[in-house]
Amino acid sequence: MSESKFSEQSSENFPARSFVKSSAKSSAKSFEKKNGSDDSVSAKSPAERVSFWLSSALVVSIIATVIYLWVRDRNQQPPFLEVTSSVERRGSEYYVPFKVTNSSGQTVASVQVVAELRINGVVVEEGEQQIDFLSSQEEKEGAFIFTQPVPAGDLIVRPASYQLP
Amino acid sequence: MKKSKRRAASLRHEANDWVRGLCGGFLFGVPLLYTMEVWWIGASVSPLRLLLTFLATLGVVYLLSRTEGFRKVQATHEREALGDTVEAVAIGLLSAALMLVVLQQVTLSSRLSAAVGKIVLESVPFSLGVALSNQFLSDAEDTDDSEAAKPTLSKRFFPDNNLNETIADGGATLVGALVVAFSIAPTDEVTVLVATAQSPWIIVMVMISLLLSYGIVFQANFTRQGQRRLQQGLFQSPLSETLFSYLVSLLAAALMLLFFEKIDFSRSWELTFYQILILGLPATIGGAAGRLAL
Repeated sequence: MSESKFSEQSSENFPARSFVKSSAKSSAKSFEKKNGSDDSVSAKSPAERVSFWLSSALVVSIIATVIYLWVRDRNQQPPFLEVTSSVERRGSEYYVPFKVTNSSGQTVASVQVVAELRINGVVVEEGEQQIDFLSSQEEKEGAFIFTQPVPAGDLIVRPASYQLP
Repeated sequence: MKKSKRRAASLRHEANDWVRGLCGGFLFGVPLLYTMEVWWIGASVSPLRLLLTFLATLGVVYLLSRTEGFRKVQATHEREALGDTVEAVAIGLLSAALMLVVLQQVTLSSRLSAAVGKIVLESVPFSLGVALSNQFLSDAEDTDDSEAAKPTLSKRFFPDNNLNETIADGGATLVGALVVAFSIAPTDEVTVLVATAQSPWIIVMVMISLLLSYGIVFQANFTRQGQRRLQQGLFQSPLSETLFSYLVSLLAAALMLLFFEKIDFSRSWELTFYQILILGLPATIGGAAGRLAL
């Protein structure tokens, strides 16, 4: 579209006055630049077209992704936390690295993970960790450290509680 | 020949507009970037609320684009304002996404919903900053291309051959950086970010700090840019002033971390170094804004 056609359409459909700054100086400047001799400042330059279409693609893809998540999350399951752990001896202590996974579609906060070591049915050592935040399908890792011989007893590592944010 | 010149000029205009928008976005968006609660809320926010937030941002940015926007040439009709709105929001989204990746709050292991939530929420102040970038410290003389309005050495504030300009720039950078660093240093965010920091991303962060500092003062056409480019003397060329100001901003970040007792000398020096560099990004932006206000 040529500059002159563009200006005609602009003044016909959209009164430019209502969109420019209130000060007389800046509004005059805007018009001068739009309709004046500086052709490089064209409203439809290829660079502007490319940046506009790339920006539009990005904005549309964000809206589409959010709508997809909305539809998907309507069928979400209630929170379900799983903990897996192992035992490693390091020096004189027993390390129990664990991984807690939120395998539901819902985010949870203040996830409490507890570990108990029972020997002959008696809790001889225990630990507790709190994870601030666990979003859907997210995993967090940590470790408990025991001084008592873990292999000699029964070790329980489990999620104990959570809050809904 | 004329066509290629016109194309190059058009590209230059577009690039300058985007740089102005980016710099405005970072001036506005960085404080919220260093707020853990926004990361958490972004990771747990419901898609419906996220969609409403995004649409509301589009609406507000549209209103701002009608009156200000980020382009040197203001929108004169609705179609232009709509185009500027989409681009401003896109710049905001890209800036927020880049910074969340650099800060390791969005990684390849992040869930799609958490990543999108964080990016969209963090993009709100960035997008508003982009749409307001013409408003920030804008100066009529910098937007006037006429020969009479072009800056000359005679307009300089200080006489030749003295250190006043360097001292004034250093002081303004220090004050601007201290103001921003003061509001972020006492929070836990820097400590949390250090815990997940990786050297390659820290290098990217340093590069972004330098580029933003240069862009805000010498490229975004915010205020007295023409005069600044003409200034001569110690640390007055654009590149040396940018590097000097970055070092001053890092000093401000270190001072604020010390003031709020966030530096633990019993820990390894790398952690302290990372802390200073991570706080250095917002401090550098504050320092650049300080120089603009001078």
